Amino acid sequence: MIKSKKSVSRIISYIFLIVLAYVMVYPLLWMVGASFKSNQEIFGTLGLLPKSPVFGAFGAGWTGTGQYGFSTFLYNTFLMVIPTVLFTVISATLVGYGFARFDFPLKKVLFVTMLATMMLPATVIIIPRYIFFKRLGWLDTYLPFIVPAMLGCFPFFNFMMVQFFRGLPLEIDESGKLDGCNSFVILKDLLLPLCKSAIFSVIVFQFVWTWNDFMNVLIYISSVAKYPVALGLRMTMDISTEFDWNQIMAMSVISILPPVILFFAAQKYFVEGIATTGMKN
Amino acid sequence: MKKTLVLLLIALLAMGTVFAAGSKEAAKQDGPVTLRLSWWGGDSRHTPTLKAMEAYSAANPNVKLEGEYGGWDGYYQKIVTQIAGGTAADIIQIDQPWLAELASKGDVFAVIDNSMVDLSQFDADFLKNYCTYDGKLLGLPTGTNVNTFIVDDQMLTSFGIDPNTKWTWDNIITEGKKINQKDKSAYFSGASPDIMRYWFEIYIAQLAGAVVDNNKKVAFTEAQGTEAFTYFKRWFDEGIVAPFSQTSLFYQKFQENPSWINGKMATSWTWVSSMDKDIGARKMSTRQFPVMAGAKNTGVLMRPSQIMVVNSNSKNKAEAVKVLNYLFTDPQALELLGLARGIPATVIGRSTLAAMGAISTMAEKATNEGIAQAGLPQSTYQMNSEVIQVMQDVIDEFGFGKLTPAEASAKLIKNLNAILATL
Repeated sequence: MIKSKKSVSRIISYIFLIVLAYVMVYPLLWMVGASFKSNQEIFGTLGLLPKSPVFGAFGAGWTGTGQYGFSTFLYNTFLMVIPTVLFTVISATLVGYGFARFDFPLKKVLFVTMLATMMLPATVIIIPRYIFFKRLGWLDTYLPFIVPAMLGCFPFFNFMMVQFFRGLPLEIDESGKLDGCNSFVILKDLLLPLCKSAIFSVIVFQFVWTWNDFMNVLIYISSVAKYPVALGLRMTMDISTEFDWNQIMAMSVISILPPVILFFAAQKYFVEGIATTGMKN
Repeated sequence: MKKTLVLLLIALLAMGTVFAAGSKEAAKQDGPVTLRLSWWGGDSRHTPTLKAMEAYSAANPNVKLEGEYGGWDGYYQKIVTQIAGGTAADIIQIDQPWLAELASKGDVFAVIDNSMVDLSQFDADFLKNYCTYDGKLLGLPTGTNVNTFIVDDQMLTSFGIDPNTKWTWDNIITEGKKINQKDKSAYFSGASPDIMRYWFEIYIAQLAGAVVDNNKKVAFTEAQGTEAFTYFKRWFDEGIVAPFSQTSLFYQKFQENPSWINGKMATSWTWVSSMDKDIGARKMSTRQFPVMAGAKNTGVLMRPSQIMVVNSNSKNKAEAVKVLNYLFTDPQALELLGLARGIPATVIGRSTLAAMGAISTMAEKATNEGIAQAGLPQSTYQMNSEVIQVMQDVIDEFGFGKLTPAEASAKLIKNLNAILATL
């Protein structure tokens, strides 16, 4: 009796979850289906599977018709995203460690200042930042993305790391000190291995955000040879002329692959990281 | 609000960069020159433009041309930021309404005169009305773009309407309602809320001359506004146009409405430049717009497809103007460019393309009929993006049935006066 009751409720909850998951994932599935549809079918119908499949969108979209193909854009994106993510991890860890474990003059003021920059809407600083990078001669390069990452200019991640370090027991540091470790060794050998999950959260978030960033690359990158995927995808989308949506859909499918693969590869740590940074010991 | 802020910043910075750039310009270069061109478009525009640029560099080896191109999304923001930062390209493609908006904030674009480009190739009124700001010619029109009324002959016939009807405001209703009477899911017009705004502007232009005149004043009376809204209320009540609840999803992209694609809507207002995209796989032809007896102005719009301007902060203004001259008047360039920017606005451009047989008869007919019917140009105030937004908001409320014609008219005039006072 009890057993069958359990399995019935389990079946119901599975059905509910499957339906919900289908609804949530539908746009993604539709995108894959749309890469095999003609323009008319994309806008004229709602179905998932193409009625009269059109092949070749992947090939045509990959080569492109302009001067540069999609492989260039993909390569450019990695060139921009990988250093940005790497330096964000390093700088966020150092800044987080500093704020969590050391006492220094004006610590509170500096911490509040850092948090304040997190609250500042990005649109407000677009033009001043643009002019700043222009004076440095960094326009049309990836430096406006990479250098701020080196200098810990992503307060969200700094804050996340601070919170994480605060959650680690001080006894760990003390045991290190007793054994004669300096503060850097404590970080490197004792704390970092415990931070793995938080670091993976930083990696995944920063990767996806930089990967999908449109406004900043639009403004800082002007030569087509340096366009990342976000700009490359929109290159042929005009308001007055017709273009093949299926190629754009096909390239969108390709462009979401790296973040998706990264997510699944890091999933175990990532989910743990999100869960633990929110908890208090 | 955001836009005003951005424009304000440009004003400040443009002034700063003008002074800063002054000293640099003295150093004239005879050596290799690199010029940047920026434009938006699709592949059908990118490829021919790049080819024409290559041809120019081949003929002028000392000039290197670099293209900065992309889609429409974000182009305006990018241009505005670049102008503010003093890094805009030497030659820039802009949309017509931006000319006045940007030029009013400072010395942004270089002045062009007859000694640089043979201006007799262009229609003088066209240059005066659309490319001139404060008496100075600041850009050149790439093509002529006019409003056109596209109709699906077959669909009209199948609902018992003569496709060759000469449309009037009355027979749009008396004939047009036959469609919705027979098929509840089909409509005479595919107008989305933004297209309804264009229809409203046409109707007001015919009644009163304009929505906002050159003196920054609302040009129609409350009674005329009520009359126009009363007329368009009949469009909704008698099933001429689909309700906004159905079309507002397709704001600025009525052609993506499945009902339109699947042939459930028979006609639309559109621009000749985007006509092919709007028609898609359907078969349609073009007609002229209804004009009421004693109309002050037909309200049919004619404007440059885009405008090419030279950045006034460019270090090589003279060379940039030469490139512009090549793109607009050289037969080789015109052949390479083809219809990348619509039917050319120059005499030589049109004759070159006609000789090549590149202009489709449909586009030619639509353009000629549109030019013949074209009304007075809209004032820069009526084309201002904030004024357009005010009109759109009232039309949205009216279309969703929140305002009666009289209320809509009163509200529109009140809101227009408020926004015009700030411009």
